[in-house]
Amino acid sequence: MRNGQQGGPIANLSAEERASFRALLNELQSQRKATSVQAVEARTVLGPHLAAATPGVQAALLHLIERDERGPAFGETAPDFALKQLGSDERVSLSEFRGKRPVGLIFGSYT
Amino acid sequence: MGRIEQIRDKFTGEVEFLVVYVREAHPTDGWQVDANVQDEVFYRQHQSYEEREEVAQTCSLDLKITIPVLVEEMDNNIDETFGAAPERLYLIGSDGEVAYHGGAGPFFFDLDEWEQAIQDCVDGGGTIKGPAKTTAAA
Repeated sequence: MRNGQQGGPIANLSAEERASFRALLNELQSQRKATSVQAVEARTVLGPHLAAATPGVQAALLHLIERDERGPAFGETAPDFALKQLGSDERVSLSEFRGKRPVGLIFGSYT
Repeated sequence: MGRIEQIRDKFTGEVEFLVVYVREAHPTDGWQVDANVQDEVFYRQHQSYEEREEVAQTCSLDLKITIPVLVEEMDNNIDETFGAAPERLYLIGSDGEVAYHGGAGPFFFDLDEWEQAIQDCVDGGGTIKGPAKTTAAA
């Protein structure tokens, strides 16, 4: 971790704050594991802890909640896109599978 | 990628799978992490679409990814719309609605949860309908 800034508010936490942030993350994770399909929202689990948290932990929690809520939520219509497929000149769109099959999307990068 | 491909194999013929290659999470010119140093995975943030395609290609060959890889445009618009970077999982029902909205990676990138959602979706004929939210026990 060369550049602390890029780690967001988490990078600015003291060791103690980091431990308390980590404990809250674990709590959220275990609640998620305990439920079946839909991910438990970060806000539901972490929200009640905001008031008692130090400003640093509060900022880290809010950052996490905000990130967790990004993107279309369960039940919303997924925004369509058409992107070039690697190794081909063809574009693949999400909507071409509509009415046919569900689509599992994996967003990521090498690093 | 092994685990993802196992899930893909399990649902072949029932569900489509797509990888969307987005900006580097930990480029050498950004937030370098130890794991990448260990694995000797060193890439700077892509400066052009061609560069992004090249890194995506290398990644896909190195990790033996056999799921179609779509390469995000340089405006990162889809990445932003889906709140995707650094990594995130979704399942879109055959009706076009979000059937699973995974937690923000890397903390909450959960393949087990995703697999369960895919199973429920297949069992439900291609969609998952409410109850919209599972509420956590207070």
